[in-house]
Amino acid sequence: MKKENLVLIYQRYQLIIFPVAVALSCLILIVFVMIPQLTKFLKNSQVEASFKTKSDFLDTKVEALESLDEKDLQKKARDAVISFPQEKDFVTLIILLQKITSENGFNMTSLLFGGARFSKDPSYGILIEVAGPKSIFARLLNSIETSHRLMRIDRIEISSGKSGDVISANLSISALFAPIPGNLGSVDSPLPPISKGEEELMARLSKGQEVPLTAVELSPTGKSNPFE
Amino acid sequence: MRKISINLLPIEYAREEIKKAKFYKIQIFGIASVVIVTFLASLTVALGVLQSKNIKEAEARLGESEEKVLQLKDRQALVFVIKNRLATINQYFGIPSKQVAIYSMLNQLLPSGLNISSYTIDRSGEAVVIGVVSDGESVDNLIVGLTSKSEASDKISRVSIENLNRGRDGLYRISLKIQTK
Repeated sequence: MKKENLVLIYQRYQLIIFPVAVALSCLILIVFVMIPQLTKFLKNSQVEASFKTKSDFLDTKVEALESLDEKDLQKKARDAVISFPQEKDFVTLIILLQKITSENGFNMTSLLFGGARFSKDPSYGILIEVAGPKSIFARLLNSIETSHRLMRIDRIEISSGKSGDVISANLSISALFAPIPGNLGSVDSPLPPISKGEEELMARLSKGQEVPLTAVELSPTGKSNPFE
Repeated sequence: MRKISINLLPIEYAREEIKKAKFYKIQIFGIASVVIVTFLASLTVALGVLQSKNIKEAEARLGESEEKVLQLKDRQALVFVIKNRLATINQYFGIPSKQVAIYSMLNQLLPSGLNISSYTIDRSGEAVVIGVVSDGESVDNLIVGLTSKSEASDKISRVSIENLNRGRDGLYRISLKIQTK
């Protein structure tokens, strides 16, 4: 087709061809440029907002972590782990029970590891036999259960002498322990707040641990030569 | 006086002029539309570019914050250890076990006239008390005390006499099983 013919056709139908060409151009721009760009813009707005939210959260977390005294935290963690250890702490427990019984005016005549465990949480059993005044036996029970080392008395057996003032008691105690979980928080995990009540609890636990357990003197009992 | 208008132009010429004028209007409108749409399209592209820049900045800031948190991960681990331990400690610390609570309760409820020779509180919270009382009235007092007092009725579900005998010495030997709620 010759150029002149095309010009003639255009001149004849220009009232239709021009608006159609304009409409098509606009449509192409809208469909292939504006809509994809706007979709991408909306999607990216969400991504940007999530980055900002996460960043703000991490900044707050950093601020909170920086405000904590690392030495104080280490002390608290040590106290908490002594109270509720991650593994069986036989030696600590022997020393502690001896300290508690002697402080309460009782003699611990035997100690045996074993027996049934406290059912709810991981624990190991200790059977102790103590002898002492009946009047302060309740205090002994209370001291065991409020000591800084987490222990539960789950069986009590008492037998009294003829006088009734001195008793002999078998106590089955469960010493709780649990391994520390392997996952101690990721970068994204929120920092758990330590409440005022928990702070007070930590202070009480810390107070109970003021006397170092290893400093408690062990007084040997029984025969010096068991074969005599 | 009314004006008389006479169009001397040929009718084809007049039609052509009208068509031209109409096309001119369409041209103006079409060009304006294309310009506006092009402008809007450019605007969206520019916004996209600007947003990409902002995203990169936000990503960089996030990376910095993550790095800071990683530097403080030891402190975070300590906080998690403390919380993990406290969760269990909180459940038990300062709260007497069932057995100790029963012992304390029975200590208040059992009369002083009962001379206890043996006392057992097992894992289920069941208590067995073996003791000696001097007379029948004390036996009555003992049972009434364990079953009628308000603090007893709240905590004791059942009291059963397992054994009761009177020796030649006139003393009553009694064995009680106390079930708690």
